[in-house]
Amino acid sequence: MRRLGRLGTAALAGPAVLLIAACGHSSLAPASPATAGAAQTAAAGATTVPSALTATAGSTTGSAGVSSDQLNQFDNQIDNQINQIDNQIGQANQGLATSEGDPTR
Amino acid sequence: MRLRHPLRVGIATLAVTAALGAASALPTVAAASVSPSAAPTSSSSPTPSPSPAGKVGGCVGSPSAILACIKSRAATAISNRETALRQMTTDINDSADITSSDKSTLLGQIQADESGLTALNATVQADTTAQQAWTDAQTIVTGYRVYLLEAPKVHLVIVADTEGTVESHISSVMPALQTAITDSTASAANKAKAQTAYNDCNSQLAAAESASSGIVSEVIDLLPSGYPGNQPTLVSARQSAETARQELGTCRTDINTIRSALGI
Repeated sequence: MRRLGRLGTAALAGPAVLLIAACGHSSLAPASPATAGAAQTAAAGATTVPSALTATAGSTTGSAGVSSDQLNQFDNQIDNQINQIDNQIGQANQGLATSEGDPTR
Repeated sequence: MRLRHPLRVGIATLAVTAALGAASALPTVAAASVSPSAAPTSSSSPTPSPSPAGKVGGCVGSPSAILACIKSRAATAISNRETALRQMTTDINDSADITSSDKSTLLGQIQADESGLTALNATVQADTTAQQAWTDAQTIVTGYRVYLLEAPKVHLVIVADTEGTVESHISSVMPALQTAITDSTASAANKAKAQTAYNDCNSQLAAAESASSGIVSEVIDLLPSGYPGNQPTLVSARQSAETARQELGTCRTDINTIRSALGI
């Protein structure tokens, strides 16, 4: 059940992407590629649907009809979530390395 | 305050011993303990000690001093665990990616722990003998495993759900990236480079999904009563979470490669 929500989201988003792609431009408009360390614009912990999946193309558009701005936003969101994963794994590791014989912690 | 460290060491020793499966842990403590009534009333001791000082866990002194010490340390231990549980609650509520079902389950478990610890503190504070207080105080650790079990479990569930969200997001954008590669007017070499990265990302994504998909079901219902037997499950789940994290990171780098090669 847990995975159904995600699969459902993906199932809805996939066709949307393909639809956008089918209507896309045939030539590329060069733009700056995103970098992994790019400034994050989304609030920490916030989950937003990547606009690349639903919005119309922006001023700078790739061949799939997805603008660089949209891809940047997507990348930033993924980076933000990966940072959260790293943080939570770190906290899990702390627990696994703890001795709970000390009741005064 | 001088008794704080000895008790800490004493209970730590007990817990480690128990974790190693030493069945003699409790008898050892009991044997080392001085019941407030044991020595003075023992039929084998016709002349009770005029100074019934003893030791229970790390608390030493007269029976009343030991009892007060245990009660104080127990209250602190419970308070610290309640603080940790509140932080877990905050972490769960702050997570944008945890599923509603997992959130509900974990918050319910935490609430039960908080209620149980509050009741346990009342029990310890009402105990009238050091031996009983010591016995009850040990369940602060063995009955809840807040640090060793609950905390890793909560964080691993958040990790797994967040990884699932990332996997879904990347999956949803992959078709657009493939179309971008196919339709690109970039050089053949750059298109080939992008395609290689795309294929790698697809493989990494599938591996990440495989690694993370079972984490929640493995850990979310682990109970303190199953510890330390269920500890390897936590370790295994942590490894799966780290594996998925690495694969998602590689996929993320692949996406950068694709964008760079295509100039998008």
